[in-house]
Amino acid sequence: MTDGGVLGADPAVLDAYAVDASGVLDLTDHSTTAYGVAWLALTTAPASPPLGAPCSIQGRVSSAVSDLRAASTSVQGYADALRALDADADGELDSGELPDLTYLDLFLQLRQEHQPHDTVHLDLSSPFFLSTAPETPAERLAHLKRETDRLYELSKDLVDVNNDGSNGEPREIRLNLNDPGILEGYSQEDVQEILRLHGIDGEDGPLHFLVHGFTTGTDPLESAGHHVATRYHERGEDDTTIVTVDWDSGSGPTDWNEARGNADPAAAALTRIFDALNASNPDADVKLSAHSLGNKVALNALTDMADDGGFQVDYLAIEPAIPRYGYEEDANDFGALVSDRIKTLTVTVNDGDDALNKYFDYGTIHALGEAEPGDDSIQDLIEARDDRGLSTTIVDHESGLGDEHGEGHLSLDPDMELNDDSDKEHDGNPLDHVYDDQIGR
Amino acid sequence: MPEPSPVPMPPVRPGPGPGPVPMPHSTPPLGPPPTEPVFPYAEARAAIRAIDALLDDLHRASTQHRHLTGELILGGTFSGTARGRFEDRVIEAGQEVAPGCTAALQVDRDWLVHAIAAADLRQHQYETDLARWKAKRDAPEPVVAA
Repeated sequence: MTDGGVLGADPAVLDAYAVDASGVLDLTDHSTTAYGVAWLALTTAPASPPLGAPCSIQGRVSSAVSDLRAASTSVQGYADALRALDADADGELDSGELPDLTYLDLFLQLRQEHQPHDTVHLDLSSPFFLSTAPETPAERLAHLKRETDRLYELSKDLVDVNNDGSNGEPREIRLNLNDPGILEGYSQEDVQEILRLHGIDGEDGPLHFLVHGFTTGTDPLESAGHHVATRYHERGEDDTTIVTVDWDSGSGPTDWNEARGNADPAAAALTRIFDALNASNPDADVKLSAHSLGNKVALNALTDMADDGGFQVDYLAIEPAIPRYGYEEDANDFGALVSDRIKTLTVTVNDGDDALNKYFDYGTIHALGEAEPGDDSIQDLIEARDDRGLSTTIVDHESGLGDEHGEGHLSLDPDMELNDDSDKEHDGNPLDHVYDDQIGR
Repeated sequence: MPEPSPVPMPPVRPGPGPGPVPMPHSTPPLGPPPTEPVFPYAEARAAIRAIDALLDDLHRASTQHRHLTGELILGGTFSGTARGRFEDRVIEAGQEVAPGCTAALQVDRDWLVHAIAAADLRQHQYETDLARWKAKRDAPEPVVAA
């Protein structure tokens, strides 16, 4: 290693120094506070003649220690620069790779602008940034800045982190597909990178997607996500990431047609997500639970995926608002129901589902979710899946428990208090055990 | 002409009178008692202990930090112009911690020690003044024969 270049170091050594040097300065935090308290007590105590004490220098001490800490941890920026820009991995950014400190400052500025975003760091060392980078250092940095700016813009609109997992519990992340065109202009590689940056690529543990139905507001979605996260936590499976999928299902209870119309573009956006996930990690352990019209979004998305890759999901369809024979007669939208994409399928049905009776309007076609378990459509579905060696479970939700849309129509959220104005017998909310069964698989 | 020698005044004799009378204005009147000074001794001593603890921690942290920085900079694994800039920055920031802040704290500590000593003196002076005042107050009033 020579002294002639811009930077030469082992990034791990720089990181270790930053941690250790910052750690020794932490020693002063307690005594600085104690000094401030003691000096305040002194200067506010009664005194005659007046004490005339000098001002406390607690602020000066804190600021000095903070500046020294910042100076110490600044080497982490150097370490990141080495990881991101030292393409030949010789541990040195020589003048050929980075002409002078100005470029290093550009890199550090870029890093500063994009870290932190929520709690997820844009990792500039990703092969995504390096593999497509131009040759010259200046071009490479300009490219790097363009790419990070672009992905940052998408990332801040697409992803909300409700729980980053720093509490040791499953992470809870919301994908915002309310603007179904949100991914337009972004390549599959871009989407893969966003999923990777936010840990939604299944590399760190299972993923559980939740898709809401015809509803306004995100509270039930968030509540359902948190319920599922809690169940995983109780099982000790804290490496799971819960991904709630929000889409524009209308602005009021009379907007069924608007919601149904919005389901298609939302599904197209979700397809992009699933395709990216399939490309990054086809073996990801993925579970998906959808409620009512959310099944149209989720099933269309799974059906429209590119054929390649072995991506499979464990699917829970809660009273799906999809045509009973959709998997056969509208296979372009619902064919995933009888394909290998859904290796395990659970469907809850209720022939007394008032909401599906009320809203689901396909003329003479009825919803799968309001079928009796013995209905031909259900039996044919089971048989079609059996023929492919795929597991199917039908749960008959034969009760009046229902959400705000009608009697007998469950919610996505097991914690939602359900109405029951009917005289039907029921044994608790069936969602409790169907979720548990899915989580336990 | 020589000045005439002064004529001595005749001695004053005590004339007949009512007897002994107080001598007016023979001692000043007794003033108010001295005011006791107030000094926050407990808080001052606690502040000294706090400064001492902080100085200890700052010296210890500064020493360890310099050691770590020295190892990094002189260890041979960190090079380039970026190293020089880092070194300048960390040295400058380190100097504001020690001796910058530690020297300022030491000045405040010295002031406080002096303030305690001055308060001791004031207290001693007060006790002396108070004793004197009490002695005056309690002393019998001097009398003179009329």
